[in-house]
Amino acid sequence: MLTAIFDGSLDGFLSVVYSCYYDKRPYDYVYEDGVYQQQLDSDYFYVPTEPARSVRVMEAIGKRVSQDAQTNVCYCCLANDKERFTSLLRYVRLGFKAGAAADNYLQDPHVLKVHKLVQYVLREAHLLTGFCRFKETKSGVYYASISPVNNALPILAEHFRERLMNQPWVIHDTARGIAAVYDCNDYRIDPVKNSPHVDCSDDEARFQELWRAFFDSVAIKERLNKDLQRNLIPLRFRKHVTEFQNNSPAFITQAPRL
Amino acid sequence: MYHYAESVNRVDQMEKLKILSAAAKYDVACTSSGVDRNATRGSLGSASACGICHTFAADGRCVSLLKILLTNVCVYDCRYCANRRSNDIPRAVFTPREIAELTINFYKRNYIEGLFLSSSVIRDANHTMEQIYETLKLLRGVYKFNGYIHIKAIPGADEGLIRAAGFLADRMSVNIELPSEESLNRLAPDKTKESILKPMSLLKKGIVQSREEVALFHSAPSFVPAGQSTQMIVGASPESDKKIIDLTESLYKRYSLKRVFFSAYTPVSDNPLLPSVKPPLLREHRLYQADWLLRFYGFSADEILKNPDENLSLNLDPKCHWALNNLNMFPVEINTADTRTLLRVPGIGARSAERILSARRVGSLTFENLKKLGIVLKRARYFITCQGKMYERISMDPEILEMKLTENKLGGAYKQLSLFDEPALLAEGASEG
Ligand code: SF4
Repeated sequence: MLTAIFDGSLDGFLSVVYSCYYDKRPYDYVYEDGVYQQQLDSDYFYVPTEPARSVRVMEAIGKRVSQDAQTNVCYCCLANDKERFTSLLRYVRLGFKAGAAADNYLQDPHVLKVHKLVQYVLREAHLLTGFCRFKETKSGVYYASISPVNNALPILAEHFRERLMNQPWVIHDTARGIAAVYDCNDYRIDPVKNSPHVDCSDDEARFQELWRAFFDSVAIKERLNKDLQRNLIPLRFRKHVTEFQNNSPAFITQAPRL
Repeated sequence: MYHYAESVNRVDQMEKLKILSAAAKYDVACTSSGVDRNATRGSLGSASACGICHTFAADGRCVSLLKILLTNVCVYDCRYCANRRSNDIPRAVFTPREIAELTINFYKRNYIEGLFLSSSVIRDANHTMEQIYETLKLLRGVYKFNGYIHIKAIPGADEGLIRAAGFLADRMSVNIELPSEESLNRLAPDKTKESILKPMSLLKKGIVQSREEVALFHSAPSFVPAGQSTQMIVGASPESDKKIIDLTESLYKRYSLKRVFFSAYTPVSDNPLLPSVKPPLLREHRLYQADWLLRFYGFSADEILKNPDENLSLNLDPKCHWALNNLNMFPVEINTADTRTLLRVPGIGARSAERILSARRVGSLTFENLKKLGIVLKRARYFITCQGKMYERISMDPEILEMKLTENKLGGAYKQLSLFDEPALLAEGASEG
């Protein structure tokens, strides 16, 4: 058995694909460094990330498999599933054999898995394009925090780069300790260690209150359906969402100043 | 009505927002989908064709737009409406600037996808429409707001005014209100069928004309690019579901509407002309399912229901109901059926059909394969074969099948249906309440 270990990034994964063909090592398993358990019957190879190689692999996937396969690879890497890279390598290898038809092989557990993970990543990111809430800070930067299951930040950053093009913003993934910082020109995603100090603008509390009032008053009480609500906006999202946050004055003054 | 305007001006902003959002909540059209518009430098926002839900209210309905009335002060007295002149309730009026500021500040915080501005008729139709138009001018012109805007065209307002507003809005709607002229006369004495249909055909003309112009000259301004929609109240008047579905079909055909929305009547008055029951939610849900069949599954109104006074079954969704009445078309062989036929199988939605079509290109499918593809067989299994085999031995008898299809529901039908049954429907239903 052959196992590839790499840094977990997209470029890293593409370097694994490169190594699979050029080092003639048809890896049975692929894991991100630090999230695997050593097995006795497997040989381990650490594959370094080499952007020049990853570009070539990405091009090859586009040409010899399909553009859909390219996007599937990108999104699947963002999923939160330890086995995703193993399935993804099988998927890519099938693609190099079967071409664009690879996506039809849904009976293949790896293809199906890749498709399901991609859908999950996209679904969660789509939900967050709606649920992500910004606060206006004193400095004029808009700050939002999220903690998604999958790494939705790169997708969200692309979305808000368009949508909130003329205001500087920060989206902070508190679960992964990374943040996208946008300066009205471009954004970068970097690790952040400490939770940043967010000083809200003078208007912020007023608009939060107005929004909560709106939110409460649009519900039709004859149609109350909290179960449905919980299914549509699951609890795990709510701690970051303004209208579900506690708004008693005591809470505001005591809350850590984000 | 001026005495209202005097006192309402003193209401503070929070109070206004509460009054005017509560007053707008029965309006169901909440979709923000239908246009894709990229952001441009110097303007705020974009519109996304797939529609984004920003939150879900305690009744489980999607909130994507700041849905408010300009005012709930009304010169009319429609019986089914809480804002009717004769009702004694708190009143308020927003200024165009207040609405614009709320919209912008909510949008920048990503609370909303845009604005849905409706209104009662204050002073007269023209004055009301002017205020709406003012709001749009501020938002688009001064604040450079590029997000989604849906407004109501006020029946009776000047054509020119409605047209001018249409060039600034993404979607406009005129509510048909009730499913028949008799009901309209009885419950909305100030409105006539003509007064509602006139702005509707005006919008249709504008949309068609603008599409042609935009096709010729890309820079031509587009008029109501996300199309027009309408809404009718269900359960306030005695029309059958068949009548409602026929009307819906003809609205799609005659006025090229994008959407017809249904709103289960919630009692707002003890007028003896109106029922005082709970809102018929399951019925509303079935109508949306039927509407879905009309728009995406190639069904005609006559296929969905035959007799003029027939209603949709509350136990079975409309597709199952249709299938049981057309058992001669089943079972369908999964490996050979065309798309249209697949889509007519109960329990198989657009996404499942797509998966089946894709997977069977590289191999013949069995029931095991279908399960692996994530196709829910709960209902579909009675109507399909895989490689000529049925899932289980069962006679194609409508009564037996109906029993099978309705067991385990135990009255939780609405909940189940609205959550998991049809992913496509969920996506749409979720963004529209
Ligand atoms: S015109 Fe509209 S707001 Fe006024 S009473 Fe009739 S339905 Fe209500």
